[in-house]
Amino acid sequence: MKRIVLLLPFLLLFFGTHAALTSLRDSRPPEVRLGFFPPAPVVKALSADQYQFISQLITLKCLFYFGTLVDVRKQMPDWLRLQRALYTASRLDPYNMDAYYFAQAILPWDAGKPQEAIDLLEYGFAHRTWDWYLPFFLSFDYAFFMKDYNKAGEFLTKAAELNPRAAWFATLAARYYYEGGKTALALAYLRELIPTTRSEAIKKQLLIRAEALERIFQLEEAIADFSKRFHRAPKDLQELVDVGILDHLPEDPYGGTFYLDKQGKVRTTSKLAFGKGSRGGHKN
Amino acid sequence: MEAIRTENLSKIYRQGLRQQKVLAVNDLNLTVSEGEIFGFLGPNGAGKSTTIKILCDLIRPTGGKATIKGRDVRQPEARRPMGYLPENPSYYAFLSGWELLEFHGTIHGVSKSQIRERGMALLEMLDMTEAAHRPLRTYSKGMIQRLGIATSLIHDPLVIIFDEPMSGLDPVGRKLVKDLMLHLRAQGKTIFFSTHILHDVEIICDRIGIITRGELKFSGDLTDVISDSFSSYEVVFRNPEPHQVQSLQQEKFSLRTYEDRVELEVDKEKLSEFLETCVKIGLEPYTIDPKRFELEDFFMGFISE
Amino acid sequence: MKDGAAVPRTLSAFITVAIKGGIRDRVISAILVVGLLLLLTTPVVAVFSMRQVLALASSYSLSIISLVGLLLTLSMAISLVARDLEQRSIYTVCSLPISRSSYLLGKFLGFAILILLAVAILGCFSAGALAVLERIYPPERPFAWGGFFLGLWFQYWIFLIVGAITVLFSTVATSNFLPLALSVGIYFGSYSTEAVRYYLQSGGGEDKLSPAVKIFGKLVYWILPNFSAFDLKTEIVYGLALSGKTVLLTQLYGFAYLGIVLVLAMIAFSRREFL
Repeated sequence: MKRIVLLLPFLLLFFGTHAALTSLRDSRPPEVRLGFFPPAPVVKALSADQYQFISQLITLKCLFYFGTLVDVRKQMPDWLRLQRALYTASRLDPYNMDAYYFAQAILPWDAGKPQEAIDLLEYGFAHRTWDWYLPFFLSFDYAFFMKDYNKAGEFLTKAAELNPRAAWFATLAARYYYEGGKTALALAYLRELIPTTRSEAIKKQLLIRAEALERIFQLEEAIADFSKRFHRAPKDLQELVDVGILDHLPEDPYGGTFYLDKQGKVRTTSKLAFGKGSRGGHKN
Repeated sequence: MEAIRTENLSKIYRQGLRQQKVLAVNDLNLTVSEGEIFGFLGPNGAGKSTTIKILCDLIRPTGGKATIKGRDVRQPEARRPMGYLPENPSYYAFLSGWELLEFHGTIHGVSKSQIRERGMALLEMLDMTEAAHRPLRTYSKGMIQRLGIATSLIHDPLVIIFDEPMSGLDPVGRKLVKDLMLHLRAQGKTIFFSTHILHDVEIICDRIGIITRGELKFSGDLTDVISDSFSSYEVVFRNPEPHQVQSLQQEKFSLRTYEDRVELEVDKEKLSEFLETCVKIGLEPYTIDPKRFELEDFFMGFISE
Repeated sequence: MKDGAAVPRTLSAFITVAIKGGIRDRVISAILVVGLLLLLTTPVVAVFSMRQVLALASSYSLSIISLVGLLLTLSMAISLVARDLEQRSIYTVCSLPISRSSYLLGKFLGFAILILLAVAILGCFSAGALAVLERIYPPERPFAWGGFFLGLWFQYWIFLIVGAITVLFSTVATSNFLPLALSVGIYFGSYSTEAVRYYLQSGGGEDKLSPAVKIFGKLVYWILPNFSAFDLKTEIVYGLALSGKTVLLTQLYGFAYLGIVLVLAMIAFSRREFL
C-alpha cells in the first residue's frame, strides 16, 4: 500500500512530462527526424550480418519521414538526405526492392533528381536481374525525364523479355512516343504502378500525380481540338474556356496553376510537386 | 517469551495450469523455547523447509501467523535477532569467504572490529581460516556449508534456524557443527534445525517436533521418546550349523534366519538361561546388544500411519 | 535508533558487493575491453568520410558506446535479481533483516554506479579519440562537446531504464531468459514508438488501419519509454543546438519513467515467494 502511494508522484510527473515532451518533439524541425546515417561502408561494417534488416529499416524510416512530412504537413522533405539514405540502403542490401521502388516514386518527380534515380535503379538492376520493374522504371525515366529514347527502348526491351506486361506497355509507349504525347505516357506508366503500390503514403502521391496528369492531358486534348478548329495555337488556357471547348479550367491538385509556356506546352506553377507552387510563386 | 512460535500456520500452494491446491503446511502450532535445541523432523516433502521459509519471510503463509521473539516474521526487524542457514545454501560466488562475512555483518549492523573478531573466531571454529580469502566459487560443497554456518552467526544471533545443517558435510564437519551447536546452547542461544538424520537429533536435541504431510504429529522432550532402560537383548549368530538352529528352535526361541546369520530376541531376565543353552549346543553368539526403543522406531511409527 | 543508519548501511553494502561483482565478472570485463578496442578503430573508420570526419567519428563512437553499453546493461541487469533467483542466493540475502524494497534498491544502485563507471570509461576513451581527430581535421563548425557529454548522459539513462525494466521482469519471471528477451524487445521497440506514432498520424495510417491497431499503437507509445527522445546523436553529430526545455523535459521524463518501473518492481518483488 505504502509503495502504491510512492508510485503516485512518479505517475504524475510521467504524464506531465510525457505529454509535454510529445508536443515538444512534434514541433521539432523535420530534418532532425530522418537522422544521420554514416556512409554506406561504415554502416555495412557496423551492421554485421543484419545489413538486410538495417537496409529495410532505413528504407522504412525514409517512408515514415516522407509520409509524415508530405502527407500531413505538406512540407518539402530534405531531398538530398532522403536520396543519401536510400543510397545507403541500396548499398547495404542491393536487393532491397523497397529502396528502389521508393526512390523511383519520389526522386525523379518531386525531388527533380532523375539522374540520381537512374543511377540507383541501374545499380539495382545489376543485382535484381530477374525483376522487370527496374528496367521498366529505367526506360520510363530515360524517356520521360532524360529524353533518351534509345536507352529507353533498350530497357523496355529488357523489361519485355522479363514480363509480357511490359511488352504491352511497349506498344502503348511506342504509340505515345509517335504522337509525342508525354503526358499520356506518364499516365499509362502511373496506371501500371498504382494497383501494385502497397504503401498508402506513396499511393496517395501517385494518385494525385495521376490526377494532375489527367488534367494536363485533358488540357492538351482541348488544345489539339482548338488547333483543329481555329488552325492556330491558343494564346493562353483561358481562351479554351472562352471559345467553349472547356467549361472551366481544371485545378492543379498540387495547388499550382496551369499555364501555357512559350512552346505552347501545358505547364503548372507547382511543377507537379507540393510546396513548390506556394513557395516558388509564379516566377515562371 | 518463546523464541519461535507459530499459530495455526498453514500454506497452500497452487500448482500447474489447473492451479491444483497442495497443502504444504496445515494448521501448524509450534513453540520453541529460549535456550533449547529443537529438532524438526520429517520425511522429504513433509513441509519442513516451507515452515522454515515462512519463518524467514521467504514464503508467505496462507493462514495463521509466525513470530520470532514475539515479532511477526513479516517485519524485516523480526530477522534481526535471527541467523538462518538455508538447505544447500548459495552465496555470491565472486566474493571471498571473508567478504561474504563482511557483507552479512555490515547489513546486520555489526561494527567492523566486531566483524573481524567474531569472523576470525567462527572461521577458526569451523576450520575455514585457510580458505577465507579464496573466492567462493573455488569452495567444495562442504566448505560452502561451513562458511554458511559462520555467516549465519556473524551477528551473534539469539535464534538460529538451520535447514539441514549436516547435509554435504563429512564426518569431521558434522562433528564440528554438532560441537558448535552445543557450544551455542551453552551460551543460551536457541537453535531450531530441520534434519532427516535421526542420529544427530538423538545426540544434541532437547526437544523434537515431527511433521508429516504438513501436519505436526508430535512435539515434546526427547527424553520422553527414548529412554536408557531396555527390556530385551538382540542376539546375532553367524553361520550356525543346521542342527544348532534346530536345537534353538526346540528351546522355543523365535528365530529370524538370514543368509549367513540368525537373529533372535531374548528377554532381559532370560539371558543367563539362554547363554547356558548356547554353551550346551556349542554355539557362540556373534553379538549381544541391549534393545532400546529408538527414535527411529518412534519416527517410523508416525510415517507409516 | 539504529534504524536511521540501517538503510544507508544496507545500500552501501550492496553497492560494494555490486562493484566487486562487476569488476570480477569476466564477461563484463570482456565486453568492456571489446568496446574499448572498437573505439580504437574510430580514426580508421572516420577517414571514410569525405567532408565530415568528426561527424562520422562521433556517430561511430556513440554507436559503439550504445551497443557495448546495451550488452553491459543486459548482462549486469540480469545478474541483479534473476541470477539471485536462479542460483538461489536470494534465500540468504532476502533472509537478512532488510525489506525486499531495500534489497531491490540496493541492487539497482550498485548496477547504476557500475554502468555509470562503464559509460564514463567508454566516454572518456572516445572523447580522447575525438579530440585527437578534431586537431588533425578541424571541422567547419566547432565540435559540440557539451552536446557530446549530454548525449552520453542520456545514453546512460537509457541503460538505467532498460536495466530497471529487466529487473521488473525478473521479479515476476521464473527463468532469466524471459526477462532478457523482453528487455531486448522493449529496447528496440522503444526506439520506434515515435516513428510508429508519426506513421499512424500520417495518411498511410489514418485511412487504412483498423481502430484497434491505432489504439494499440497509441497504447504502446504511452507504455514503452520513448528512447528516441534520449537519442541525441543527430544533434551531437551535426552540432545542432539543444533547447534547455528539451533537456529538462527529457530528464524529468526519464526520471519519472525510471521511478515508475522501480516502484512497480518493488511492489511485485514484495509479493514474490521464493519456493
